Amino acid sequence: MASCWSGSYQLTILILCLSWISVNSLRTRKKIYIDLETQNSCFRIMNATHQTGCTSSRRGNVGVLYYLRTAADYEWVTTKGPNAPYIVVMNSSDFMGLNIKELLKHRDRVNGIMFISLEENTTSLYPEIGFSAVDTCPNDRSGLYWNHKDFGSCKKTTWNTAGTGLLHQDIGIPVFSLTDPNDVHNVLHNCFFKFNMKEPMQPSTTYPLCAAEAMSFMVAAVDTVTCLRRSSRVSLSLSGGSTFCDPLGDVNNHVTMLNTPQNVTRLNDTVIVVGTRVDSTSLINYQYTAADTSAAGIVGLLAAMEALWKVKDTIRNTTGAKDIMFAFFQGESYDYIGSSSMVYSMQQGTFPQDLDKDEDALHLQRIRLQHIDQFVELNQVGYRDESSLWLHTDPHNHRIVTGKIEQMIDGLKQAAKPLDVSLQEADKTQPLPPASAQRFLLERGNVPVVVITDHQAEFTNKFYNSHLDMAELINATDYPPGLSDKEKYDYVTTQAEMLANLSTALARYLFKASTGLQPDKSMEKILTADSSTVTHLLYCFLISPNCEIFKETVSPQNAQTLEEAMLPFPFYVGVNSHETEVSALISLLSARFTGDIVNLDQSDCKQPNSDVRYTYTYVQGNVSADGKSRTGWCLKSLAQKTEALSPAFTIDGYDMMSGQYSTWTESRWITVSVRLFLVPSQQMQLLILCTGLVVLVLSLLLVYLVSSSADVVFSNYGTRSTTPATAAR
Amino acid sequence: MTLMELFGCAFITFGPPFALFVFTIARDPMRVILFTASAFFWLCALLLSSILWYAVVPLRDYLVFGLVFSVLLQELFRLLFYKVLRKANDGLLAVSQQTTAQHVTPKDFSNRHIMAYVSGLGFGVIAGTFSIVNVLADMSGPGTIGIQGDSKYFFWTSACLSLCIILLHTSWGVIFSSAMDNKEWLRVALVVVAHMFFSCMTLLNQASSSSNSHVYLGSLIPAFLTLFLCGTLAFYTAGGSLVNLKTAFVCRKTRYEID
Amino acid sequence: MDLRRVKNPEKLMMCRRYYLAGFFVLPFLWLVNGIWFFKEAFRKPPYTEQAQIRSYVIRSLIGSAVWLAIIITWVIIFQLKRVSWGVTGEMFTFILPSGSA
Repeated sequence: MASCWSGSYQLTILILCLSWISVNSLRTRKKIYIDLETQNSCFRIMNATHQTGCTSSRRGNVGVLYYLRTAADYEWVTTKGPNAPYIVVMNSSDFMGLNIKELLKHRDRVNGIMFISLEENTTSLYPEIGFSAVDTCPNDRSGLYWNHKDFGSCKKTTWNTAGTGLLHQDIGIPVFSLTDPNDVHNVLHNCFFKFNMKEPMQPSTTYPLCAAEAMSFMVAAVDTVTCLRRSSRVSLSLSGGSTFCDPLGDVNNHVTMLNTPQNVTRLNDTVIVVGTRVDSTSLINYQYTAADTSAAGIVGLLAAMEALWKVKDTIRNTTGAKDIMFAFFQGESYDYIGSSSMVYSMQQGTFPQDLDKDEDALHLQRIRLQHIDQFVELNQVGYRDESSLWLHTDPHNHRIVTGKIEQMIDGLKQAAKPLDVSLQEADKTQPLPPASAQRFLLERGNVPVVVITDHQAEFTNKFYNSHLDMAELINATDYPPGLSDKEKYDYVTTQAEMLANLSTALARYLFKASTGLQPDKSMEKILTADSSTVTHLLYCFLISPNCEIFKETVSPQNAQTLEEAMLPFPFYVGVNSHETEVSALISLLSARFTGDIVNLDQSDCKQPNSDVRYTYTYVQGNVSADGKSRTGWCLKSLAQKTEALSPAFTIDGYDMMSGQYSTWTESRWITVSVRLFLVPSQQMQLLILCTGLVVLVLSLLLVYLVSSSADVVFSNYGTRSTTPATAAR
Repeated sequence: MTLMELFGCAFITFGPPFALFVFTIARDPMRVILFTASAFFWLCALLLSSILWYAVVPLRDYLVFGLVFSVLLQELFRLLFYKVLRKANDGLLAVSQQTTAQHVTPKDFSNRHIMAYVSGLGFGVIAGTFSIVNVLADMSGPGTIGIQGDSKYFFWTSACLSLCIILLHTSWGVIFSSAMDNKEWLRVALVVVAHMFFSCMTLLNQASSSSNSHVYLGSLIPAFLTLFLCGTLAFYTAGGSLVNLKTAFVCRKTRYEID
Repeated sequence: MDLRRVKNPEKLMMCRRYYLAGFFVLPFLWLVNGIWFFKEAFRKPPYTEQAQIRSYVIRSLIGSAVWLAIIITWVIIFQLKRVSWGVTGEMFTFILPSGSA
């Protein structure tokens, strides 16, 4: 349409020439519309049976802008106001389940929702009752307790009391978040207060009114089954087939302590799995802060990994030491994509590496479910309930492997005791909270499982899986005033201190669980997580990724991307064709914390063909002595990536309706935008139209009259012309 | 949707030229060809002026520069087209005689004002189209002008000015060609000056565009005044007069009365 | 082709040929036949072949009308039922709508 004109200099000059347009805005569009910067929109996702999330109509939803502040405003918008449909703007603190559901009841009058979430203004940021995009019983359907008579649907404990379920509701209208101060200024002061609220407390009802067009049209529809079928359809059109949606997915990261090759038998119950979840979700794209939901767990695990690998030689040299696997599960917010995918490949015998691909090279020996000795999961660990962390177990699991579980709990408690980390057992009759371990228990019920979280019963985090799960709420930003960015990066926050102690406890516990040895004093000293690493990682994951530890740990090719990153990387799992930054960084950090620096330059930093157990990663390294260039490290480690894609998409002929595996897909979209403009009064529009029609009709009449008697009217022609006046007729 | 605005403005701009086209041009293929050819010449002028504007980098931000040269180039191409037409006159005559079976000199060739008028309209329609089409395209969205504090008369003014330029080009076509035929250089100059005056006047809109007042419409008065003067001049040049007009319509009236 | 220059027996032959060709699922041809020969069949002064031409024209027009009715019915049914037919409905669809069922 119109956009194809822009860029043509011919047109530009023409507009300049005959111009009724000022030089600095070449297009009329610029005078009609204020384009907002925001791209933070809610979008559509689908599972096997439903479509959920937001979409606008094909050409965008238009409505008169209204800023909701009081209850009267809600009434005005939903019933009274004469200028419907409206697009409403609300403060982040009002953006909560009840209000939104009220608005969604009036979708004929409410055509879109925008909320202001400026981080500077913390008072209007957090809704008092909390906000969580997922429902009150997250991942219930794909968990251990689906349809369980005592625990199903959270009968025993409702975990996520702040759950709104909005993410899994077909909202059907666009929802945007405004994070740019300029956008907020435009919406409130160049639009709402200027045109729609000219007098205080008295909404203007006469046109011109300021309106907004929210565009977030989603091309996929109905459900995953329909969408995939349509995407795979042989297209008859010339432009080729089109894909409407993509499965959610990414990669799982894991590191093993031992390099057991395929020719060494792995005994049953010899792998200790320590896992955490990587991803989080929220209603709004790009706003996936996950301070408590997952970041604290990731950082805690990474710090424990760093501590434990300092004594790797001791563990590796101890005969009979159990293998330790650190696992980072991706996509857990969407029905346990990562863990179910890992369990599936363990069952298939392709974990961690597919041995059948190349039989000559040395591979890591298979890990199957029966090899797992115990499973410790670090869940949400940011907000401690009664300043304590809680050890959760599954009642059934507890019953069948009581001894082992008691042993684990005792071990953990013992390790935590001298570190001032309070660990308590949660109610034994209570089921496990939503956790990756559930997928392991589903397939093998007698893996001893302990889940460490910060809540005794329901979540302490009121912003689980939401855009408001901020670093400041877990005391990860309690800096003294006046610190520079560099100082903030190095300042050990309260949360970092607490988390470091937890990591230390975990590392010491794992050491003992693996080797059976009680670490002595000197060993304990080595087995201590570095609180500065913890604070660095928290800073990098939650505040700014453009930080030293990340810079050291990325490849030279990606340094630029990191340099340009302004906001923390999103914790959303994303679609499977794209590896998220968070996963990539976890992989690099694991390589760094567990690997050895080998003396190879960048081009030689490659895996040898004969031994594919090790991953060779080339990263920038620290700043060299001259202070300019970076040294460059070639890291040789056992850090591995495996695909985190739901088996539903890889098993041939899988029955999508069976509900066994996650079936989430994300719709594609073309543009996401919001623009503000004035809508003219009906009279003005009619006036222009009528004038146009009158002009048209009059000129038709006049021209007809004159032209039909042209011979008479112009009978004097030729008197001045050089041509002889020889009239034809 | 401001679809109504869109159609209103489109009708204002293109209503009169549409009427002219339908009743005076469409039924004669020769005139349609002429119309298109003159539009093509105007496009060439546009191309040249945009190349010039693009090439002279330091002056790119000065509107006046582009404007003045564009006007001059357009007039140059009007001259070129005039020359081409006079050269092609015999050929066209031959072609048109072949197709029409009657061996009578077609009116178009005996009355040169018709050719001048057709080419002028071609010039005008393409110029007017190019000046309004972007505005129309942007108008098709849901919004109207004004959020940045611009005058709400913007669309009116755009449409009316585009109409003006179309009709002005038509009159200028007639005046220019007749003046060239008769070597009346003053009239040639008059056309160029009027074109320049009209174009420069539109620059004034910029100054008043931010005030939400009727001043914005002010530029329309001189524009239509220019149109009126040029139109009258063209009317007389083409052999019209008030007396003729009166005769035509009085006769018609009496004729109807007799019927 | 200018029908004025065609002899009457030839007209009949053409009209008949078009009429027969229409049976090969070419309703549009029937429509053309009907319109093209309408004048010949009803407006021209009577001539020998006219009666036959007229019958072909009428049959052609009826045929195209029947087809039109069938097509309209199908379009209505299809538009109303496509979604509920599910996969079958999709198989009948050439261009799938994006963003809706």
